[in-house]
Amino acid sequence: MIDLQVGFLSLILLLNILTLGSSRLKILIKNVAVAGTLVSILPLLFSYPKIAAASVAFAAVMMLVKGFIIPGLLYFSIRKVSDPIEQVPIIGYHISVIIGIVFILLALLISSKLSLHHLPSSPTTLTRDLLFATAISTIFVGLFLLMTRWKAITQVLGYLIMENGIYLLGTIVVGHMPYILEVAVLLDLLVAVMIMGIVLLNINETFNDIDTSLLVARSGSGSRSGMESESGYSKDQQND
Amino acid sequence: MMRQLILLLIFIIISPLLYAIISRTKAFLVGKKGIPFLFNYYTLIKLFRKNVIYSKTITPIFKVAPIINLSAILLVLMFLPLGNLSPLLSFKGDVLFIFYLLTLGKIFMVLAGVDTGSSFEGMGCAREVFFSALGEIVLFLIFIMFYRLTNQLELSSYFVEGKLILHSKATLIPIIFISIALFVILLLENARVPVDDPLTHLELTMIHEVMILDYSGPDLGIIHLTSQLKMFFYAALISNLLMPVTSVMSIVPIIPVMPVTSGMFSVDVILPFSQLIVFTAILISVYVIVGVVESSMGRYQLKRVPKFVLSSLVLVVLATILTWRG
Repeated sequence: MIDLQVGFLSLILLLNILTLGSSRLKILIKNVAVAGTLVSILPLLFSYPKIAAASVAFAAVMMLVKGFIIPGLLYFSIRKVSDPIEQVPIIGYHISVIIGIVFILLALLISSKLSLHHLPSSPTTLTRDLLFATAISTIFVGLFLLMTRWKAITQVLGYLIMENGIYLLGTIVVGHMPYILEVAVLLDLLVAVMIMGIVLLNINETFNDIDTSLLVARSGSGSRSGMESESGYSKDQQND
Repeated sequence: MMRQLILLLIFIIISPLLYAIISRTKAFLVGKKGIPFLFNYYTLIKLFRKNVIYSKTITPIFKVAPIINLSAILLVLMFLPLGNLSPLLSFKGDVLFIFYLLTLGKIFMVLAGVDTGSSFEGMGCAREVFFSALGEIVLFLIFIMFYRLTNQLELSSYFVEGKLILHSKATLIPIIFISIALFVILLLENARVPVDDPLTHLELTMIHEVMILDYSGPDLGIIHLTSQLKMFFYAALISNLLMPVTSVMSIVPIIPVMPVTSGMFSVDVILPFSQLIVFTAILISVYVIVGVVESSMGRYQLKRVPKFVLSSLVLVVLATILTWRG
């Protein structure tokens, strides 16, 4: 079981770094889909001997939304995008990968400073620290993507990755959050992505590109997309 | 002692044969028959029979470089543990010695490439040095990690004791990660497909092949043999890492539990025959995987190679984190 937990966590870490390093939007979406699936299964692994039927059902719903519906929507919305490659990020890919490694190390440092041993989901020191480090570094990676990429789709993905991290953090702190809250967050996320998809298509139609730097001229639509992602995020925070 | 010498000699002799497995796999996957298994021997014999032609601009470095490269790799192979069996030579700190020996051979090949005065070869040399410098970071991180685990500086202890510690300490995952990272290094150092295409005919895109364009006859044969041995070295490192530990092996009743020995010339271990078979099987599968990788993907653009190496660095860092404590 520890093998499986460690495997899942390190796969999530790897996917985060791969996401930082790849320029093709389709690959990014696939990465986020796989990471979302892994993240939604993870709480089951950590509560392994006693798994409630409700949590299995919830994990299944979570997996469906995070692993299939949201990436599917994003995939659908970039089909018509003319340029599915992030050409010039603010911070280059190699440096991003190295920064990703630094994030992991930083998160480990933080997790070793905190006293996590009284938390419910703590089978061993290794998995507990690793889970915390994964959560923190996933949030960092999401924020980093949000900050350093121009394409609207990558920013949405950064937001999704950040949500993954927050979900993991919730897994550590309380085992699992109340289902109603999680479902609400999920719905929020879905709606946010849908709206982002519409915004994305509109940007693409207007500018023939999904580069958000083009929105500077039209601050109206730019702030709208920003508001959507921010509102979803703040609800997540309240749940924590 | 004698046993290991014989074993090493056998592996040195069959390394061209193992090398042919790669092209056989590639041929098989595209539905061709492929070269005969002894093809590399025919090539070597053909090359050793030929005369040497030297360019007029060269210095003696060009002539000695292949020999130095070959002897470096032969010396390195003596430090290589073969499937839970301690190596011929071993001393404290030999890890650094081994990797600087490998680099020494490479440096001489690079010098020889520059020596010819051809601009193509100079370009290839620059690339070779750049990429192997990247690979070195990964290799050294792997060995730093093993040093942290074992507190020893001998290559053999890493792959005999270090693996035991790895197994006891964490899980299977660090071992898988390190093997993948080592595999990336294998592809990089041996100029295999995602990094470099050994079959390319365009000097502009070559890395490794362009450095040896001016060699002919026996010198070229030596270079071929060296690259086959180098491939064997890296493949054997991976197979050593992936070898099942003794506790797993001793489930089979015939095999006695092998005492773990280290230090200079301490080899009173009877190598169980089945261990050797397992080792060879893993070794062959590494070659097969190289072939599968080569036929399933094209080579990367040169600017993407550093990212490829960086991804293996990430794997090593993750493995280090996983074994940090726990």
